[in-house]
Amino acid sequence: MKRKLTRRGFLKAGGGALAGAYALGLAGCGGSEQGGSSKNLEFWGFDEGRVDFARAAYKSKAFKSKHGDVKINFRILPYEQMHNKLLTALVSGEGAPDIADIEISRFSLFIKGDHVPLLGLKKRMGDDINDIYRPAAVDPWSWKGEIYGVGNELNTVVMAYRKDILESAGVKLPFETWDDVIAAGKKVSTGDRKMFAIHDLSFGDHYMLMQEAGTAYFDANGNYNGDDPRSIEAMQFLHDLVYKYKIAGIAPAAANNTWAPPQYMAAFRAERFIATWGPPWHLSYFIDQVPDQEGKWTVQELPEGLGDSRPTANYGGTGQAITEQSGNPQASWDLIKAANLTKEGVLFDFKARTAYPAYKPAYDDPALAEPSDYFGGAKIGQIYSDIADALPAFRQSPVWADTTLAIQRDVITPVMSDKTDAKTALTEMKGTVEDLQKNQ
Amino acid sequence: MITGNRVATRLWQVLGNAVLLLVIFLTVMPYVYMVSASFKPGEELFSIPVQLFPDSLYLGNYDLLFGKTNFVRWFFNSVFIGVSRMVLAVLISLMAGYAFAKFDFRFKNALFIMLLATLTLPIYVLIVPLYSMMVTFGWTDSYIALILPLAAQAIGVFLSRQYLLSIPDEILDSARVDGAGEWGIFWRIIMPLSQPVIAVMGILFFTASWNDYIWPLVVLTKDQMYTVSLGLPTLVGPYSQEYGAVMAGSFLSAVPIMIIFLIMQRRFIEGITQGAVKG
Amino acid sequence: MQPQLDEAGQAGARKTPPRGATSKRRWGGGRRSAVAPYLFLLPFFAIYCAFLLYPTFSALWLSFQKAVALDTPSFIGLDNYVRLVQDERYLHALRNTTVYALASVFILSPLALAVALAIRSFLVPSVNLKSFYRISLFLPFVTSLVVIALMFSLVFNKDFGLLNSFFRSVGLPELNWLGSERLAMVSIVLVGIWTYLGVNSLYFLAGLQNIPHELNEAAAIDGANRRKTFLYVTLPLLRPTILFVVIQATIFSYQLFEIPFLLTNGGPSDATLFLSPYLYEVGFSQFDRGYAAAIGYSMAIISIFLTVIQLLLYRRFNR
Repeated sequence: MKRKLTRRGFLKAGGGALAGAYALGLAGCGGSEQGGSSKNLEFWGFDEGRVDFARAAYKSKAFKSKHGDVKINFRILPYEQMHNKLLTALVSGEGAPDIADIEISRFSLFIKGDHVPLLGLKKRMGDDINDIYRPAAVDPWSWKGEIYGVGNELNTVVMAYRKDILESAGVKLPFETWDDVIAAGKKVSTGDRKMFAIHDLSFGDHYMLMQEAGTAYFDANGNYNGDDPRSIEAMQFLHDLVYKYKIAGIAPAAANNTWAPPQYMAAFRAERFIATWGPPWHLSYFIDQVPDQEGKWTVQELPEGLGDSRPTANYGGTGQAITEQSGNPQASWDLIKAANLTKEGVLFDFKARTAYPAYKPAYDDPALAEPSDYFGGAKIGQIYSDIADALPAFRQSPVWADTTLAIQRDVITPVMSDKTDAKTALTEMKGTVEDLQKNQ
Repeated sequence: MITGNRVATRLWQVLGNAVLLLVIFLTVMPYVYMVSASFKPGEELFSIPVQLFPDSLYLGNYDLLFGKTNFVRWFFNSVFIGVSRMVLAVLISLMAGYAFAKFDFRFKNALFIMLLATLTLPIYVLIVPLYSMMVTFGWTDSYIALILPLAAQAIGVFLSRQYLLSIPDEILDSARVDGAGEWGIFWRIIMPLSQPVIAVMGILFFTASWNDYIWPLVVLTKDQMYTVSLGLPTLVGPYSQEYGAVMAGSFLSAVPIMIIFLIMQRRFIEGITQGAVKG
Repeated sequence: MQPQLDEAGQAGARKTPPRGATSKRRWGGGRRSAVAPYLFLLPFFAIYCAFLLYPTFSALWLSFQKAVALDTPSFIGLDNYVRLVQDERYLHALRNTTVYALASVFILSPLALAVALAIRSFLVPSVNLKSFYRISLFLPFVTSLVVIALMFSLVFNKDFGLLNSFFRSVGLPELNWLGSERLAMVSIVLVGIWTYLGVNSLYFLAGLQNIPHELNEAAAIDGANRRKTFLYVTLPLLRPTILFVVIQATIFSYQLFEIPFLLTNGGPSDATLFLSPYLYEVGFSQFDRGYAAAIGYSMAIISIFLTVIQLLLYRRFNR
């Protein structure tokens, strides 16, 4: 009979070997492709359309001619997770991709602390910087004089509405001031139908209108500016649209999608709302998901009457950045350049997602001058490039992401549920932001 | 019923059963809705008025699930991890429970109390440093991170010990007299006798692993390594709206658990409720 | 193959068997090996110490440090804990989690007891029916919380959900289940009740089954009606079960993660922010690892504290 120790020892050793093989195989099973290799790059994104955009740049001649032997693996992760994982990987020193899409409101996570784990792009860009609308293309991904990300989307905000319904109600279009809008709204609003759907779970509507009014959440020195009278005016206005003038309703939203979930689009399909304002990507949702109303909509600049009455605002956007763990910064940069700084690259995204480019030379292309079928023949490209120079600068802050989340919780939702007024909420927010800045 | 007249008795019975049926109905309803939703296309899912059953069996969601997502791979991952973790956990719990039940040794009480103390410890205390350990070992995005660290569950030791206490010592001692070694005793006597508690632990550990969310959330990044629990919620969010596919995936992922449960339910419920009785 | 319940066996392992060392071939020379138990314990405790104990203490150390994102950690003593009691969001989360725990104990548990009583008293005694009830009641417990959260996000959907369309069809007003601050918490509690009612009923059923029928009959002979029987015979005998159910409910409640995280994401306005999602946000979204560790420890302390209190109350009431 075998001695116990031997058999036991054997089992343990065998088990250990098995476990070892497991571990090796399993660790390798995931297949690490990032960082170390300079021929295999990894790209992370959260939006399928944008990943297609990056892939198109990868296949383009501009890229292939320089890096024909480089392979790029494209990964899509859900929005929140992608940014969290990216930060985790950068903090822990391994596992990060070479290139990543960083959304505008999450960029602030990467500039906390003294060291930014992304590569500076200013020098690589060189003169190309004159060919872009800076507030849209690079400002949101800049910090302390260096540029860390490049975006291709000109997210100029315009107002859009159902021309057919408003005209048949006798409204004079286009609107000149917000008062005109309110008057029109009163004509067309019934129990079942309102002009606008105001978001109560997202800071977007307030952010856009406060830019029209001439201010932003942070000033040039990184201090909280949300209690500026113009910001308060914008927030109160949103509240009044719903409760005082009664021409707007609360936008249907869900916890996992606070901006344009299926129920929001369904409400527009059912004509419960007939107007909105937003950047091109917001309008593209209508083109895709409310196709029956093609030709009945139109767009115009934001009406005057709020604060400084600037003609447009900026909302949203995503930039591509190179992480410091990249194994091939040159190829990474060339991909970004091919995507964002060539006519071919940005036109791809325009054709795919109606993403109007922040790259000026692209506006020579006839595709951008075509009138929009959906928006009643309006020459949208022209409108955008006309107002693009009026885009306000983007004021970044390391606590941008935390602040906007706090603003959603403590300002937007309570004010839009009529639980508090804009002035109180926005003024109290100052203390919260100061705490955030202290703790980070 | 000892007292009361027959009519009252009947009335109570009907009422009681009605209430119970209501409870069952409310319990089952969301599942029915989920299954039906999995067969509806997007527009039908989000339409007014809402209908419970789909107009026709729409298979697009399942197509999407199998075609465009990594669902099959997620499923495989969940099964592989679940079985591995279960086997490992059952084995080491049974061994440890055996030691506590059938041996006397120094530190026995100390170790036991240590186990007891950590029963109420939430996993959240550990998550941050445990994650750092995974990074140090290079175990992020690996199967081993999901199998090994969470295999040592105090509840397993308690259940095993409780059960093994009731095995008479004579059986073990006579085996020793016959010349069996300790491991042989464990393998050939204890294990076959422990089938009921192994069943209970098996289901508990497999289910826990299958349904685990926060740990895979923290440790996994690559889509191919995702488990089903982790992968399904990724199908809805600001950039993806595949509710129908989510329902389809949820349904499919609930099926294995339910099958296992149906097969073993009596043993399992006995095992679980033993704890309630003995307190 | 159920071994006999053996009183001697219950008393624990006996010491050296009274037989002499008869066989030299036997490992350890006839006595139970002194090393064997340690070897059996080894695999479990190796994993346990490495992956449970060590991180627990590491977290304790971490909670005394300021460790944010990419900065180097620095020792700050109890500052994180001081911050906890001043942090409005933490207190809000604590309040929400406690409300849920209270609902678990004072709403869910009595309901579960009622269901168990109903099954016991009113059920047509057919084995199949019993099985059917048992399985249906247990179903939510074995379903993944992720699946449950996803299911209920559709059920509670304001415009297209099952619940509101049912309300609409019977003329009741639609409710904003997940979007209204007050209702969101109610929704979470409802989901909690839905999930755990079944298994808790089964616990109570098991407890009830252990109360011998003779006691009920004896009470009846003594003239007690049903209510009195229940209050003075059944309930006291159910004490261990009640304790078990309540402790489990409390511990589970404080650890609840998936449902508030996936169903409402803490909203609206933190109305359904629970402790564990807050910990996740602080640790993995804000990357404040030291503070997250402090939150984790506070949760552990609270759990232990409540469990101890419940045990003490139990002792007190058991006289």
